[in-house]
Amino acid sequence: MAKKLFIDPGEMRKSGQIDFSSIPVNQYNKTVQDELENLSKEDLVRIYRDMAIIREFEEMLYAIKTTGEYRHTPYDYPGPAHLSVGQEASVVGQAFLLDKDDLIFGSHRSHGEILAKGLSAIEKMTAQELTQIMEDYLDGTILAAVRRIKDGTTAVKDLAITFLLYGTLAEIFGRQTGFQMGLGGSMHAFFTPFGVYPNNAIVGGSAAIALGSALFKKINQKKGIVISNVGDGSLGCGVVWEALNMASMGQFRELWDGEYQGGLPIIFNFFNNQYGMGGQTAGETMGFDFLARIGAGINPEQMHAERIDGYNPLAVIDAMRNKRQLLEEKRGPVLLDTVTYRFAGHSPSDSSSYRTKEEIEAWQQHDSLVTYGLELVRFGLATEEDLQGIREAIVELVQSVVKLAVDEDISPRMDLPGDPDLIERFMFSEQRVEKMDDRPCEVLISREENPRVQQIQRKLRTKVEAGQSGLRTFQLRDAIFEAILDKFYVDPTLVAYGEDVRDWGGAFAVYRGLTEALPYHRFFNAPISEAAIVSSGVGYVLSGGRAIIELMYCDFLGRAGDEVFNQMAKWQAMSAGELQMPLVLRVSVGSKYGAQHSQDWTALPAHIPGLKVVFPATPYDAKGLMNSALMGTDPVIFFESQRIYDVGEMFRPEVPEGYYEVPIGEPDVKREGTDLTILSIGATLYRALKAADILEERYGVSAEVIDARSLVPFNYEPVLESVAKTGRILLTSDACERASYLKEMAQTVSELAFDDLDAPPVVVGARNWITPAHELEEFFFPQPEWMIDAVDAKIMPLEGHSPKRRVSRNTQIIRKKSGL
Amino acid sequence: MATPIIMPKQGQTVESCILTVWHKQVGEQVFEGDLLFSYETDKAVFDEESTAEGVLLEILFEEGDEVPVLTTIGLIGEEGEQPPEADAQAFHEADQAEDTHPSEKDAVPKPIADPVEPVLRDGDRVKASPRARRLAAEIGVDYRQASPSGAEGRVVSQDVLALKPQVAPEIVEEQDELHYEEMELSRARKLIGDRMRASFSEVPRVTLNTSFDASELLDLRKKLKADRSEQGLSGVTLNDMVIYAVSRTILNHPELNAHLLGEKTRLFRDVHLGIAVDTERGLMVPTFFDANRKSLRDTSVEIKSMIQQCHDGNINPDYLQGATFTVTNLGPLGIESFSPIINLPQTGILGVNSIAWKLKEQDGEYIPYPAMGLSLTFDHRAVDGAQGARFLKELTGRLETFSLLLCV
Ligand SMILES: Cc1ncc(C[n+]2csc(CCOP(=O)(O)OP(=O)(O)O)c2C)c(N)n1
Repeated sequence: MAKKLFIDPGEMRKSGQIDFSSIPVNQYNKTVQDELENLSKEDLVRIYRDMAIIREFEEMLYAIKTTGEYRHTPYDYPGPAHLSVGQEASVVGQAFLLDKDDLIFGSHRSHGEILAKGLSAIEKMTAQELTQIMEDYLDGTILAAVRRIKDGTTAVKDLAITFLLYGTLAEIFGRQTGFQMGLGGSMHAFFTPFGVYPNNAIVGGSAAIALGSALFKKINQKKGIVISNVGDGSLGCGVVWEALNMASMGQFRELWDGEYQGGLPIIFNFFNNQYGMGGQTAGETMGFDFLARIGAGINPEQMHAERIDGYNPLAVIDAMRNKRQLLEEKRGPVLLDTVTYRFAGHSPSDSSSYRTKEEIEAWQQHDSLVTYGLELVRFGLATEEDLQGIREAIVELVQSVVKLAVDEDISPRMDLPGDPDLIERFMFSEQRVEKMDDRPCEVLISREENPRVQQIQRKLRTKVEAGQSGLRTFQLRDAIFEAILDKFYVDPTLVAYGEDVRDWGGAFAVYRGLTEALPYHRFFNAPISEAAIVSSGVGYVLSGGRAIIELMYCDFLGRAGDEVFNQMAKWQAMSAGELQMPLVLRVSVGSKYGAQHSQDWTALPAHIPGLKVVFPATPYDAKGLMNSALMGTDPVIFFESQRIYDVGEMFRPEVPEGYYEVPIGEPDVKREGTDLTILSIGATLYRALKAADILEERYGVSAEVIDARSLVPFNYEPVLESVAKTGRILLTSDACERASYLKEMAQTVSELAFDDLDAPPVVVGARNWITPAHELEEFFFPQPEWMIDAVDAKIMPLEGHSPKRRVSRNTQIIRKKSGL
Repeated sequence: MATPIIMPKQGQTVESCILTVWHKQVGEQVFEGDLLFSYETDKAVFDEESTAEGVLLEILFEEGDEVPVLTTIGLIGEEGEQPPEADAQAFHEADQAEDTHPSEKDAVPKPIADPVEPVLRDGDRVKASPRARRLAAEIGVDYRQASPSGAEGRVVSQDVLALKPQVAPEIVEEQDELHYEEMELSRARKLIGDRMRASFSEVPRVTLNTSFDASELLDLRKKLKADRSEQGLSGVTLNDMVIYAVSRTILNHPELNAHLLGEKTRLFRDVHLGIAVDTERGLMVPTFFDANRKSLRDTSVEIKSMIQQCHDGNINPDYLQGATFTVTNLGPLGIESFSPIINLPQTGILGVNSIAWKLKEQDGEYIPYPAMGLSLTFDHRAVDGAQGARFLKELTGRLETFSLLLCV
């Protein structure tokens, strides 16, 4: 959808061919001597040192995992250790030219990357910067521990190196003095002050997060580049392909304006150690033969793909120098196939049954640490004794760091015995931040000039009677629009993207009017890549921005399962509160379009710790909740229902034009009553009200209707108060009844209001079926009459009522027995 | 071999009793016939004598414990004998399995009539909502007494609320020293309270007061009192006569010889009269079954014996239920009229009052006569005011011509 781009049938139907250019494979052929043009002698020796540090660090973990000790320090470490012994040259080479503003996102096998990147950043920082970082980070707790072995006479850089090794190891060992206070662990350790961003235990998980971080750099004009470091095995993952594709979107060049025009500053680097866990990528589980080949399929630049020799640190440095230049020229993205090999197994328990001893030995013949050391000696840049001295110093350093990290007093675990609820504090950040940056907001027109705003001005914002909503009424879709539009004029970092949002205005016209207001880089169409949309949102906000992303239909949530459940939900707590996740994911719950377009899956994100979940049903609540979501710093899944985008406000006197918030987590009594409480989530509110009318008129039963508005967090007090009064509660939503969030609420009410209940809490949800055609939906989604039947059968017999549906105990048991 | 001490089963419907007092201590010598322990059901208190001789070796339940009937609660054996290793409960189980354990107290005759369905069987499972249970505990009523209106036959809070007294008793809180002594209410007392409260609050009651010329009753009473024969006629009281007259009259007014059970009333073919008895342990209401089939003499003798058993605390609990109408007599205490409380689900209760001298006009002259008061309280849901009045009218007519009634 970009009217600017004319699709010419003549062009499209023309015959011809696609020409590819050749993809370089290991073409670097310089010596250490040659590199003296670019690197100093010290640099060249430091490359050796950094590789040796990583080697010793990983060998140390291997020893601990396999023998229970390292150089006489015993330790039992049951956690993961995906070691990269053998891969040192590739990580050191990559990091060597990078500084703290260049961000890397890695995998389960990223100890080496943390150390290499950290060592490189330390080398480039001033003593003052380093001291500041160490003193500030976790209020100096890590530094205090390190001070036990490094006194005041230690040079700051040496201190920082010890700090880096210790912070990483303490994190791996799950100590409170680790970089993430032990909440991350081996596969998730990172250290943002050195540009080391979250490493991900989900294979390929980092690719789209890194993409989001690159979007952040580009959109907010920040210094530096971003690297996604994943393995060759991750090329089997959909989200990685989504990320490659989305990072290569044509609009960066074709449609984004001015300084925003041009490619993303990102390198998709694949540490190609030839194996997944045991599956060989080239030849067995993939068809690419050369991993670098896939660049050719992504965009005309073939992603500047190249295979480089990850066993030669200089080759990697060289490639990074060139590729970085490309990125600075806005010619990204780049794909690198960095050939490497791990000597150790996937993890220490791996018996390497999938490869031969000969193969491992052959690669050991090429061991980069040895061969690079020999090169240094050959060209007289270091003597064998120098190198030995370096290695010995490293052993001593690693030894002292291990002793420190296993010391229960100096490196304690998080005090869960003393404070069993400690982790609660990290689940949400609960900040209020009006804007993530202070610069002016880039917009195309003023708010007043916006045609949608003008249209809304002609609408009635005041309370309407049921069923009176029309074109002249301020609708729920207007309310969401208004909150979002306003925020675009406040927070310069705010971006919104998703499928078919620009020009179209989103499938349900919520975003109509944003296209006119916002430049491409703040509001754009994403490819149909739900996983990449969500994960890039995660990367965007954890790099410092604020974003609203969307899934056109709730049913597509499965396509973004990992991204919502493991990425969006987890990084605040896994970073021990260092990272914030001001990300709003709009999710639209459908109807009318059958089984794969009509599902209310609120229960799925609500089950996952770390997400806030809301589902407003009125214009007032929608605007207020969106404002709250856009003010907070926590990830919010913002459910909307397509049934009610056009409802007007029926409860408040009016929907204010100005800013106001509805607090997340507070249910709202929409109708007062004394005999029965009905708690509704989402669009069933209106059917619940209808049921309340019927109960009143036909049976003289006065029902109180509460709109949950939020699922997580949720303040039960108003509900309990209501139940204390009525003694009865029915819960309803459009979700299939089995394991819906209503069940969770019903159980909680049973537990907390047990002595107030005159009948069990009864859930009226959709049937546990597929959704039938729209014309038959009344047999699937809860209807007011179902609620009345349930009240009569389970809660309070209604005089003269004869139920139309089977609601008996037996029916229920039989259905459950059959899985229905 | 030690002899188990068994918690007796008092009547068909009692499933557990509260062990109230051990009269012997472990190690103490026990002779046959010695008072061994006391226990109570929610209707009565009982004493149990030992049927074995020896030493009380062991007690298995403490005072205050609720004990299922036919459970072994202690052991009597020879001096120095060790209590058996095996769980004493085994005795109980063996007993149950063979069902050979004889009822300890067979002194009370079995009820003659088929007992009507009891109001409430102890231990019956009553479905009640948590809210109803909580509310019942708060306001001190027994939710099991409520008639269920909730889904799936559940007693819900409004049903319990219906048992609640309209006027809450004022509670005066003592601040300083204790000028009083507190005693735990006995189970029987609590039950009486619960029932009374339920009846009082749930039932729209009407009380009609009337009196009749008791001259003829008093005359007859005088004659009977003088009877020296062994027929037991000398013990016939005014109350017995009222009861006799009620039993002969009430069948003409079936709505008063009835139970009101939710949607329906159960009209009884025979008359089972509840007789209110004031005992040390509180109010007890034994049932005089088949009153309409008994002679005046039998009426007198049976009632006397039941009253005695109530005072002694050894009445069979089966006799404490199943009444179809109740007569309560406060006459001896000088009460002139009162408003007795209906024993639900019965529909009425007759209060018998004292005799006061009244004047009646006869041929322009005022003649004094002994007037005995009657107070009929009935459940207005089941009985209309006029129906109640008609019953009273027929009753007083019969009492005034009591000798004719005896000839019927
Ligand atoms: C989504 C997902 N699937 C499977 C795994 C289990 N797993 C962990 S590492 C790994 C192999 C990954 O291979 P590659 O991406 O080449 O990285 P390498 O281990 O070679 O560094 C697998 C299958 C996982 N962590 N995440």
